[in-house]
Amino acid sequence: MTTLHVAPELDPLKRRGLLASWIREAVRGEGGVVLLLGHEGRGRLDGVEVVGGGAPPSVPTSDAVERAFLEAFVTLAEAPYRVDPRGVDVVEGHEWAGALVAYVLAKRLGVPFRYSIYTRAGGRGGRGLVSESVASIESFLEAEADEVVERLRGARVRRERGAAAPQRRAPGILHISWEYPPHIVGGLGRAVTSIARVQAEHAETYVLSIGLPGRVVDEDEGRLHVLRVDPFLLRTTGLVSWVYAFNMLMVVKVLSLGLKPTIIHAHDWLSAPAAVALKHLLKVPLVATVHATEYGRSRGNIATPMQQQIHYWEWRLTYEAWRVFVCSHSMRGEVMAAFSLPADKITVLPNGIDLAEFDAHQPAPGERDKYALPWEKVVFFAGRHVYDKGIDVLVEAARILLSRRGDVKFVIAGDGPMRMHLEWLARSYGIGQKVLFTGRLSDSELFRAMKLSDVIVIPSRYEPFGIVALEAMASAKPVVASRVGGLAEVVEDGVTGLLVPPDDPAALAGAIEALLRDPGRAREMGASGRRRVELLYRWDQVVRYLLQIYQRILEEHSTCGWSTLFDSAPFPRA
Amino acid sequence: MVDPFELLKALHALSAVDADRAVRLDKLSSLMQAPRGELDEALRSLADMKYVEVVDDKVFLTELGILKISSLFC
Repeated sequence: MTTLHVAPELDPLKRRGLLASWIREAVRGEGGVVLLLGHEGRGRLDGVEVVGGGAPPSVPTSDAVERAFLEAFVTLAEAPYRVDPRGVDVVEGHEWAGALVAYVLAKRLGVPFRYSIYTRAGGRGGRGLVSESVASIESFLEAEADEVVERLRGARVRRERGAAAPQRRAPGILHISWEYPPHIVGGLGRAVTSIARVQAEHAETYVLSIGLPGRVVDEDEGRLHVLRVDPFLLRTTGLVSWVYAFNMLMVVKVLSLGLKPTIIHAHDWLSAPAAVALKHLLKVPLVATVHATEYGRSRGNIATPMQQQIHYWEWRLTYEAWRVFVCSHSMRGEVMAAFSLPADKITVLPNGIDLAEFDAHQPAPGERDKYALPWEKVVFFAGRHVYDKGIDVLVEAARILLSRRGDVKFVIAGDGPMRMHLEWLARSYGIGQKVLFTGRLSDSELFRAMKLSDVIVIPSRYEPFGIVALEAMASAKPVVASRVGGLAEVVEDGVTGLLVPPDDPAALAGAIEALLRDPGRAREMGASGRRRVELLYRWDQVVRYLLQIYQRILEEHSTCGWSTLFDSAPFPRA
Repeated sequence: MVDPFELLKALHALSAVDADRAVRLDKLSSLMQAPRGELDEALRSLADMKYVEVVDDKVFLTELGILKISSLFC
């Protein structure tokens, strides 16, 4: 029987030399095989076999926690090809960075997890978010370990947990998405929700997501199963390490449930680390939908460590995926340019809309009064208050239009980092009374508000698709949108709405005014938009096509000869 | 001057997302290296917008505050 050690460092000449010496001594005493994080190659050291866990990508990280998670995910994807699990009866993680990987591998192999502690975050005298985060990870791992060894004190605590009955869930489609109700931030969450609900009518469907505080509860509704992790279980150092942390918990959740999906469908970089790790740990085909890219959002200017890590995971996800889905032809070009992806790997799969659900939300009598006076026309916007959405352009257009006519109310729904600035901008233009910032609206409030509007505006600078354009068209309202990205494909210029150049407040004001001046034309455009949605953008059609593609992938997978060393350790266990 | 958005991000990183996981104001002041007066002022404006809740000497992010941080990402 063998111990599989996972170590962050073994070379005493490296940065954490003292720790490396301690780990070497411990490994020499225990024997076994060492999986060494952040390294390539294999060899023997002090008579012990050492296997490199894989070189980390050459992207900068902001701190030790981000670095450790990045190396951990690289190693989890590599381990099935580098480590022979036959005879392994315990996985031992050295220090918290090694233990993160060891914990997951022990779950995958169905053997105990041993955690070797040398120093603790508190004992190292650290301060700040890194120290807080490491301390929280250490506590978590200590609580989860079957055995804790305090190497420098020579103390050893074994936990008698009893043999937990292996769990087993029915195989099915596994979506991994950080957005799922009630955590809905943008279009991604709406798309995943609709796809999963329709898919569950055809097959067992799982959605692995995060839960908001107090609501980290799994849900089963027929063949739709929502699995949630607590994204705030661990303290982190910032947004990127937060994403890594909940992705690690997602991997553990799937392994703990004994769930071997038939196919994994990941959505954007925020689920990429978990998706890539699970693909290799379980040998399951992975597909990905790229809803937006950092490359597109930043106009190709990938500069900060955060942006570089996001870009890396977006590239890695598209590289690892059997097939990549995008929501528009514009996004297809963007993904090809950003990740050097071959065209034949990409399928354009537009977003859809659930018309029955949408139509169910009708405004109550008098509800319009919440937004505008009876004689005011309502120009409506909904979206995150970020630069890409071009809300500042809309406020500028409002100033222009209101200088010509006073019977217009601009209603801006949503929230985001720019909200305070936008409110200030409207006040500084002297139009604060004519621009209403509603804050975040529920889906029902949003759909009802759209139906009360006269024109719906989408002034984006960057927009991969623009689900809000579909919602506007489903409301039978005319749309004024920027001629960018997917909007130029969804909105038919002159038929369902008007397209204007992005970043052009005068053109935007002109187009809005043209529709307000001609209510007959506006009504006609709204009706055309509704017909277009009914014909082209229905989730049941989209999902039927998606399921056909899954089927083709599963057929290819069954004959492709993909093997890993972990094949000798079946999952889930009998 | 404490950047309110940085303050929200720090609370998010510290998992201060409900009353049980709220962070003491003194600790936050030390972690952010911000004078207590400036911190209190920034928290007041965030509480007015319902992004945080201050209870006694502790603070945590509300669900609206969590969603505001999430909106950075998509």
